[in-house]
Amino acid sequence: MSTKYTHRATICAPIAELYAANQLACIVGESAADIGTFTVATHTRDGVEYACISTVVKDVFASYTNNGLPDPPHAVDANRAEALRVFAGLNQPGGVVFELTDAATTTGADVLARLGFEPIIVEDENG
Amino acid sequence: MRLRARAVLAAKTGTALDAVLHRVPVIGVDMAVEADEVVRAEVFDPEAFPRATVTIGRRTARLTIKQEVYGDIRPHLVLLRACPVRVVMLDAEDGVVESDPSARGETCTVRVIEVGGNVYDIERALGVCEVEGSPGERMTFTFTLVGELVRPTDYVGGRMAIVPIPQPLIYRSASIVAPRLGLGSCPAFTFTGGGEVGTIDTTCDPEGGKMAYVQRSAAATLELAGVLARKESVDRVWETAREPLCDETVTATLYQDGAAELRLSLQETAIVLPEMVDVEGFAGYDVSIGGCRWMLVWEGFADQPWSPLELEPLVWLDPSDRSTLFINSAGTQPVQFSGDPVGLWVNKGTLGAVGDAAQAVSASRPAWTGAGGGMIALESGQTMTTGHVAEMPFSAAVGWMRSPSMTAAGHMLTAGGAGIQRWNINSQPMGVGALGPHLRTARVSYREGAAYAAWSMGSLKIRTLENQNENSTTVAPFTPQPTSIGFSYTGDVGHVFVFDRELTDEESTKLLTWMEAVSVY
Repeated sequence: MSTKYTHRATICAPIAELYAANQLACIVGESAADIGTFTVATHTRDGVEYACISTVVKDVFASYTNNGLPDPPHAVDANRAEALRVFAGLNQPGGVVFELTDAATTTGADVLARLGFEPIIVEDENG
Repeated sequence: MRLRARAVLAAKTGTALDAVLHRVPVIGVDMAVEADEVVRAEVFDPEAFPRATVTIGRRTARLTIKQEVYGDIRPHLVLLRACPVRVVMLDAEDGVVESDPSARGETCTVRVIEVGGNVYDIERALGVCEVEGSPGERMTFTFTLVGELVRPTDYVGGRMAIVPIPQPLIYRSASIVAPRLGLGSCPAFTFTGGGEVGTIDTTCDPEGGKMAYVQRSAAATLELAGVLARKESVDRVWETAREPLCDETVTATLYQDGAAELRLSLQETAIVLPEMVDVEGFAGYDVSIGGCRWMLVWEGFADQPWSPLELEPLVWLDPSDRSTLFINSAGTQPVQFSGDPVGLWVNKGTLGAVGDAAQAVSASRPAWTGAGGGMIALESGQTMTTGHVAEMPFSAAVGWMRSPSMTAAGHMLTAGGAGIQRWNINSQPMGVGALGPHLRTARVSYREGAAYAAWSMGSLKIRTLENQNENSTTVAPFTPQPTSIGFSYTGDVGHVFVFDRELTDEESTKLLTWMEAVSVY
C-alpha cells in the first residue's frame, strides 16, 4: 500500500481569474472550503501576477481532462459556469496555468520555476 | 564454532570501576521498536527495519541493547550516533582514541563499534560488547552501557543501528615484495587459486624487487608460484594511509624452493575505512542482517525516558506520531502513507484542541513524509494554523530542514499577519539554499528597556514594554493572533513546540538535544 496522492497539481491563476479559479478549485476539491484556494498573488510571470498553488492530488485528478468535471455535493453553491469557462481555458493565453507531475519526484517550487514563475517575496516586518 | 568476544572498558578518567557504577547514571532509552517484529529482509529495505532510538537521559543505571540475529553478525558494525557527547574509543591494542566533535565544530558524533572487537566508549561510561552464538545460526549481540554520561544535568541523545559492512566497501589487499635476486629484471608473479581476482597491479621496485598489489572481491586463496622469493621480502608492508577497522591474516603457499615447500605469511587486510561508511546518514543503512529480533533489555532504570511533556508545552505538534495526523481537517481520515496531505495535526500539548494545526483548503495542505522520523513537507504558500496559542512571554521551537528552493523571506512559525505585530521564527538568516538540519528557536518576552538580541539559534527575541521591535522602532502593540506554520516557505518541518514562558537554559538544552536526537535530518 502506498499513498493515493501520487500526482502533483501546480496551478497558477491570474489575479483577474481568482473568482473563477476558486469555483473550479471547489468543484475538483474535497470540501466547500476549497472555494478559498486562491487568495493572494504569490508569483509573477511576464508582468502578470498569479496566485499559485502546488499540492498533491489523487489519480482521479488526472481524469478530469477526459471525463469532465465532477459534481460533488459540497460544490452545489459553486458557480459551475465560471468553473467550466476557466477549465476550458487551461493553459491558454491569459488563462489559468495547470501542470500535473509526479508527486514523488517533483516539488512545487521546481515546477513553478520551470514554468517561469517568480515568487513574490514578502518581507517580514520583524526581519 | 562458538564465538565470544568481550571487551570491558575502564573509565578513561581513571575512576575506579565501583565509583563509575555507583555514580548517578544518566542514560535513558526510548526505543521505537516493535518488540515482536521479525524481519527477514535480504534486500535493503529501511522501512522494514526496526529502528532503535536511544535517548540518553538521566538517572538511568544501565542500558542494554540485545539483538538476536540469524546469520553471521561478524561482518557488521554497530553505529552509535551520540549528540553531542564527547566520545572516547578504548582500544585494547591502540590505546585511547578520543573523538571530540566540538573540536571539529560538529554537534554530533557517529562512532563505529566493531562487533566483537573494538568498542567505542562514551565518556565515563562502561561499555560491554558481547557476541555469542554460531555463525549461520542464532547469535546474540549485546551492547551495554553503564555509568555516567557527561554531566547529570545534560541530556544527550543518540541513535543506534546495527548495519552490515557494505560489501563494496570491503577493501581487501595483499601486498608482497619479491626481491630481484640478481636476475636483472623483475620476476613475474602468477596468482592462482580460487576466487575472483579483482585487480592486479604490479610495480617493479628497484630496491625490493617486484611489488604486487591485489584487490579481490572474494576470499580466494592466493598462491604465488614459480617465483624465487625470500621470506624477509614479505616483511615489507604496503602502507595504508588509513587505519583499518578490521584485520585478518591468511596464510598461503607462495612458492616452493626445491623439494622444500616454504610457507610465507601473506597478510591480507579487510578494511572498512571510516570515511567510506556514510555514518552521517546511517539511518539509511538500517538494514536487516538476515533476519533479526530486537530484544531490548534495560535494567536498573530509575526513571522513565525523558519526554518534552515534562516541560508542559502548550503546543507539541509531533510529526512522528501518525495517530495525530489526518488528511482532512475534520480528523476523520488518518494519514497512512508518505505523501498523504495533512489537513489536521493534533496538538499533544496542554492547550489541547486550541493548539491543533489545521488547514481546510485542500491545496494549502502540506504533505506528510515518513523520512527523517516523520516530517511535514511544506510547499510555498501552504500553511497550517492553530488557534491563539500564546501570550508573551513565551518560547517556541521548531525542528526543520529546508529545501534548496526555499524563498528568501519564508517564515516557519508566525503569529499575526500583515500589518499586525507578530512573532515568528524566520528562516531568512539561514541563507537561501542551505541544506541540512536546522533547529530554530525563539524565546520571546517583554522586558524593560530597549535591549535587543537578533534572531539566531536559541537567542532571545525581546520586545520592550514600549512596543518597540528589535530595531527600536515603535510599533503597534502585539496582537494575539492564531499561529501559522509555514508561509512563503518550502521545506520540511519537524517537531513544533510553543511554551507559555521562557525556557530556562537547561530546559532549552534538554529540548533542543531531544529534538536533535529523535530526528534524522
